[in-house]
This record gives sequence, C-alpha cells and structure tokens, in this order.
Amino acid sequence: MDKMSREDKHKQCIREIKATLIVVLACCIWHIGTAFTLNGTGLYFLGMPAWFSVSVFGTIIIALVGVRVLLKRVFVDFDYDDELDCNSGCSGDCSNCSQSVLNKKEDSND
Amino acid sequence: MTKNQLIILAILIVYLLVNVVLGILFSKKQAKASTLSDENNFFIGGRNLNGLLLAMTTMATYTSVSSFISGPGAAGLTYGYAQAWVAAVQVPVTFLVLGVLGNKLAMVSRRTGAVTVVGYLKARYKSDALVVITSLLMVAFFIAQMIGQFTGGATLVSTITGLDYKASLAIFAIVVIAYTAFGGFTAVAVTDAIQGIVMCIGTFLFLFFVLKAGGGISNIDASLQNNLPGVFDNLTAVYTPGSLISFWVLVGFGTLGLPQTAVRSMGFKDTKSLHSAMWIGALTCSFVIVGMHLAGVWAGALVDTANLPTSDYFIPYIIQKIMPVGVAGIFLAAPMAAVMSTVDSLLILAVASIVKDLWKNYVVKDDAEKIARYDRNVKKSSVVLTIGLGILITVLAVKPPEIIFFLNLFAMGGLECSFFWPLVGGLFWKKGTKQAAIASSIGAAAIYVFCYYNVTLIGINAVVWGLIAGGIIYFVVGNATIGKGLDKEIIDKCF
Repeated sequence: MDKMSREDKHKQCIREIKATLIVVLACCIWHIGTAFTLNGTGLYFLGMPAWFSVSVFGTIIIALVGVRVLLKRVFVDFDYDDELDCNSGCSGDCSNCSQSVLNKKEDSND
Repeated sequence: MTKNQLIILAILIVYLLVNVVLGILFSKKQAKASTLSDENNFFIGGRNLNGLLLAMTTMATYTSVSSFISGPGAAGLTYGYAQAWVAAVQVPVTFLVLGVLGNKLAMVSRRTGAVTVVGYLKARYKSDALVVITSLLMVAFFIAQMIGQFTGGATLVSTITGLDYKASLAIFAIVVIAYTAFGGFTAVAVTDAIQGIVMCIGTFLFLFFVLKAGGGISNIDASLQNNLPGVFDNLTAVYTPGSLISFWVLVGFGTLGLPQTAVRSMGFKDTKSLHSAMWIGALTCSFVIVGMHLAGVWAGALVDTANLPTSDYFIPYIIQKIMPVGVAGIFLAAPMAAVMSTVDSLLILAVASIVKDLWKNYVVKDDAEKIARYDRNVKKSSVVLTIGLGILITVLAVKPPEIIFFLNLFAMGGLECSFFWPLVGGLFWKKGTKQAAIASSIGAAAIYVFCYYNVTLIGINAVVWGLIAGGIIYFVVGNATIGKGLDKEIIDKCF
C-alpha cells in the first residue's frame, strides 16, 4: 500500500468521486434515453417490451462493467492507519493526536 | 390459525431468533478484539466492517419493506413494466454512495472521531446551529420512518399468519430492539448481512415460482395483455415523463444525502473492504431490486385480483397461491428482513445522534469530570436509550398519530434536501462555509415542502426543486461568506 500525504489522498478521492459520478451518469443517460426512444415502437426483446429490457438490462450491464473499470483503473488502495481516531481513545501511536493525549492526562489525574 | 399459517409462523420465529443470537454473538466477539472506546465500538463497530458486511448493510438498510411488498405489488396490479423500470434507477445506489462518500468520510471520521453524519458536519463546519438542526430533523424523520416500517411489517405478518396485529408488532419490536441494544452497530451490520442474503434468496424464489406458475415468459405476456391492457407495456401510461425522470433524483443521485446509508462509510476497515463492497453491492442491489419488481410485474399475469383492498396485499396473496408452504415461509422472511435491516440502522443512528451529537456536545461539553463520567457510562446509557426509543416507536406503531403520516410523506425527500449539499458539497468545495451549509439545509427543505404543495410542473417531483435550490444557495452563500477562507483546522482535517 502506498504512503500518501493528506493532500494526495484528497486529490485521489476527488478523482474517484468524479469517476463514480461519470459511471452513474452513464447509467442514467442509457436508462432514460433508450426507454423513451423505444417506448411506443412495439418492439420486443427477451420476451419483454424492448423499451424495458434494453433499458434496464443495459443499465445493469453498464453499472457492473463500470464498477469493474472503476476498481481497476481509478480506485487505488491506501492506508487509513495514519488517520488517528482522535477523541475516542486510539490504540496506536497517539503522539500526533493532541486530543487523546489530553484525555489520557485527565484519566491519570482521576 | 391454520396448519399452514403455523408452519410459516414457526419459520419466521426461528429466523428471528437466529438474527438475535448471531447479532449479539458477533458483536461480543468484535468488542473483545477491539482496543477502541465503547462509544466507537457501539456506534460504529470499531470501524471494522469487511467488504461483504459493508455491501450487505448498505444494500439492506436502503431496501425497505416497499422494495418487497408495495413496489412489486404496484407493478403487478397497476403499473406493469413501468414500475420495474423505475426500480432500476436504484441499481447504482450502493456503489454511488460508497464510491462518492466512502473514502472521504472514512478518513475524516477517523481524524475527528465522528461516528455519525452529523458528527462529520460538526467537524467540517464547526456550527452548533447546523448540528442541532440536522440532528433534530434526522431523529424526527427516522422515528416516522421506523414507525412506517414497523406497521408495514406487522400488517404483513398478521395478514399471513392470522396472528393479532399487536402480537405481530411485538415480535418484530422485541427482536430488533434486543439485538440493536445489546449488540450495537456490529450486530446491526451482521444481521443486515444475514438479512441481505435472505433477501437475495427470497428474490430468487419469487422469480422462479412466478415464472413457473405463469408458464414461461410468452404466456405471461399474453396474460398481461389481458389483465393490464394498454398499460403493462407502456412506460408513460400512468407515470408522466417528468415524474419518471425525477426518480433519478429522488432514489438515484439524491440518496447521497441519506444519513443512514452515508454513515456506513464511517464503519469499514480499509480501502480493500470499500472496493469489494462496491462490487458486491452493485450485484446484489441490481438483483434484489430489479428482480423483485420484475417478478412483481409477471405476477400480475397470474390472477384476477379485483378483490384485493390495496396493492400492498398483492404479494402476500400471490405467494400463498404459488409457493409450497415451507418455501412461502422462507420467502416471507425476506420482507421481514427488509423491515428489520432498515429499522435497526435508523434506531442506532438516532441513538448515536442523541447521545453523541446532542448530549455529549451540549450537556457534557468540555468539563473534564463530566467527560470522564460520559466515557464510563456511554455504553450503558446507549443501551437504555435504544430500548427506550424502541419501545416508544413500538407503542406509537400500535395506532400511529396523524403527524407520523405527515412526517413519513416528507421523510426521504426531507432528509435528502437537508443533508445533500452540506455533506456532498462539503467534501470537495473549500469555499463551503457554515453559513452556506445552514442556509442550503433549511432552504432546500423549505422549498421542497413548498413545491410539494404548490408546483406541479409536468409532474416533476418536488425534491428536484429542493435540491436544485439547495445547490444554488450553497454555492452562492459559500462564495459570499468565504472571506479569508476556512478555519485552518477544518482544512487540515477535512481535506
């Protein structure tokens, strides 16, 4: 797993967010576009009205292929371990974490 | 009660007990292994969900009793394929929510210790007004939604098993309250996973038996021509184009603003869990939601249903006609699972919001002695509050007051309007100020309710206007109030 700075992580997240929205938008456009185009034509596909089957099964295929592509090309693995769970008593190294150091002091005063 | 009803009831009760036992067992195991605080373990499961649990809990929280009963029932009785087409809008919901909110919420909530979406908003905007407004709105809407789910589930059980409505309600309530109160978030997630699997099985059974009873797809088509002529194969026969497209906002993009699904992004372990959850979520969500509605359409071919009071009775009625009794019992576990997996998530988030966002922030505050006492008692008081709130909801569900119907009408759109821009805008826009968040939260919700009653432009749903207005308000007010930029701590922790 790569070590990334907070800024790099933020940039990566924005990239992932944009790419996810593009896939969902593609689903949306296919779903609405094909259904309204084929509605009223009387065509059939897979034993169902084509406006339904082309639109819905196409949307599912775009979604599934889209997620595969997202996970392969866009999303990357990185570490959350340096994102300390501050004011709820973290287990790891709390040297960067003023809040929980503070909590510990209070505990020892008790 | 007939023999068949007893068999179904027995299957349902065994299923419920399995949920309670496994839920509490897993949560004990998780708490033992965890080194984190009680608060963290109870409300967010020690941020330890793997991909399967994350996918299932997100999908199961989102799919409610309507995905199994009202939606498919309406498809079979009234709308035909158009209803199943609408349902397909929800295909991307899980990976949309996890892909957009997942990583950011996971990191920011770790940095700030947030365990609720309101906790995130507090860290991001540092505004008390926003915390109070959003948590009160959330708790109110959640209570209404939980009552709606409970009444739906109890009606279903009592129709099928002949058990008294109050007794059916009590069975549900005891089970959900027990595992949520004593197992916390981990029990919610584990039972959601069991429930998600049951929903997949239920969907498969329904598809299989409807196809079998209908005699294959071409026979079904012929009977649909007969039962719903001119409607079943026409997208715009009942729905207007405006209302059809609106669904992409209401149950598509807008779901990013639902706090109960967004909070799942604070509970998973690492990026690997997130990635596998996006894949599993896309598969299961497509199968369950589209599968149930498609089978619902096909079921419309099977019988003459003129005698049913409402379309909510259609699925239970048809199930008993076409499935052997044991199988019907297993299928009916699916809508019960949908009810429980929605209620448990709302219940724990409502409690988290009351305990952490309101009590801790405004009663405990910074007083060291009070904080120590809070830390010692947080587990116990959360259990008590969960039971208390659960009982309140159950009592209200016996005969829901008028206000509940009113709140439920606006629950989904209202939550989306008040949370969408503060949450989504706040993730990436460094000019999103607290003034922008408060103004857009209140503004969007107000415009939504106003348009609901007053604007009927080509059938477009009021939530569309609410969210558009909310976006404009967020960006205009943000630009106007940004001044020298956000607080350094906010930039540090949230970006």
